[in-house]
Amino acid sequence: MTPVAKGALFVFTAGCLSYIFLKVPAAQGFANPDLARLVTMHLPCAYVALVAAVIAAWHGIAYLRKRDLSSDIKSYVGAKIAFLYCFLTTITGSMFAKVQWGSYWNWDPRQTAVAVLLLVYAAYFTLRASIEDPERRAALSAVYVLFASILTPMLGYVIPTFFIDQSLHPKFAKFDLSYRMAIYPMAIALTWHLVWMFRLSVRAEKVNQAIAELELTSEGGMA
Amino acid sequence: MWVKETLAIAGKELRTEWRSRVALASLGLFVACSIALVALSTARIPLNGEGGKEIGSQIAAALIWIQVCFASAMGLGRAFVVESERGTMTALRLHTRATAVWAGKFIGNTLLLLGVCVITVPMTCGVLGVTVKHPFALIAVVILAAIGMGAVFTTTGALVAQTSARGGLLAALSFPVLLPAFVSGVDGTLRAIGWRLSASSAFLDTSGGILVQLLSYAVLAIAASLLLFDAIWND
Repeated sequence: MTPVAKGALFVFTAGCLSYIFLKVPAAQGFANPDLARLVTMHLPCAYVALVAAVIAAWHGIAYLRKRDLSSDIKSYVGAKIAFLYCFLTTITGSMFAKVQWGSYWNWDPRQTAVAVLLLVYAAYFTLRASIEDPERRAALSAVYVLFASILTPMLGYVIPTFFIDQSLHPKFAKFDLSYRMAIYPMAIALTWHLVWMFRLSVRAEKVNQAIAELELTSEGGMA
Repeated sequence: MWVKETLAIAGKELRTEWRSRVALASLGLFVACSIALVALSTARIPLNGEGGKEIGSQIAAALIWIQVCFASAMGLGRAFVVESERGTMTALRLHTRATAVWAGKFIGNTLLLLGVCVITVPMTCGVLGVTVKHPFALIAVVILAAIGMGAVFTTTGALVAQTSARGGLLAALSFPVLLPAFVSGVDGTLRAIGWRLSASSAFLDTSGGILVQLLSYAVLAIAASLLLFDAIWND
């Protein structure tokens, strides 16, 4: 990203945060009306986690179709970012839940679903660590990330929306204009961050793999 | 032709298992030991009376599926590991389509899982003094959950067979993906036992959605596995 784009990202994010902290009104009817503003961070984090999960799955498909190792790197980086944003979604959600419902953890289906996604990505990283051959690692990791991507929306979206009535999350939330004016720009800001992190991490991962290959070649040469 | 190949693989799986009885013996022993531990650990909890029965139902529903998950993680990973250890994978690759291999192994694994359920469900209910009010509903829940779980364990078992760390990896890879089936299985078992359902209420009226969840999960797990297995098998 160019220095101008980085500057623009900084200004835009600072603007979003200023609007959230200075302008968004406290939401009446909540246990702590001031803390309801946390929703404007929680929802964009969940949205970016979903986008990153789709990126991981998309590049998993791309690897299985073209067998290009750079797709595997992109899928891996997507999974790492999805893990980070799932974690942030869990933290912001738990803080909100403690104030609103009295407990950090309520076994709400959506809350549990994000925790399950964290476990899925942890399992994905464990699987990658257990395979040495880069091509086999790429193929099996792509299969696992796709398999989990097909089955986990059941827990995160289908079951809570259509089968469970007692969820603490609203099924189809409707926000006031002042909240929508904070949530949508924040989602754009975090997506911009996602693109930046993604491109940086892909470059770093390619360098890491090149170093690992060089080390392997030099070890082979010495032997 | 595909069906013939699938049935041949499933038949081979069941015959090999019947001859060695390795998975059957280890799973049976695991289930028996875990039920003995449950009996000992709950011996001092008063499970009689209205409150006690409610606690007993909740413990039974959760324990049944915890035992089934752990028993499956112990026994179902062997299907592909055995092929790799015996060096028969190449022969299978040459003579049988990938999806037929998966389907055959899936049938074998699901039957084994159902066998585990046949032991676990009545023994756990018996030990905890739980009476099942809707037995046919419980059978439907067990069959649908076993099909979904069988599909997941077959695919993750194939993944694990290709790695160097086989020990705990099957459970680590399978459990997060299995959670939707696990949650619905526990819910369905609770409703079939009659937890918080008045005697007159029919299971399907109040809990038919759980069967739909389990069925959709099983269909998705089978479809995803059939789509992706070729990439594992021919890699």
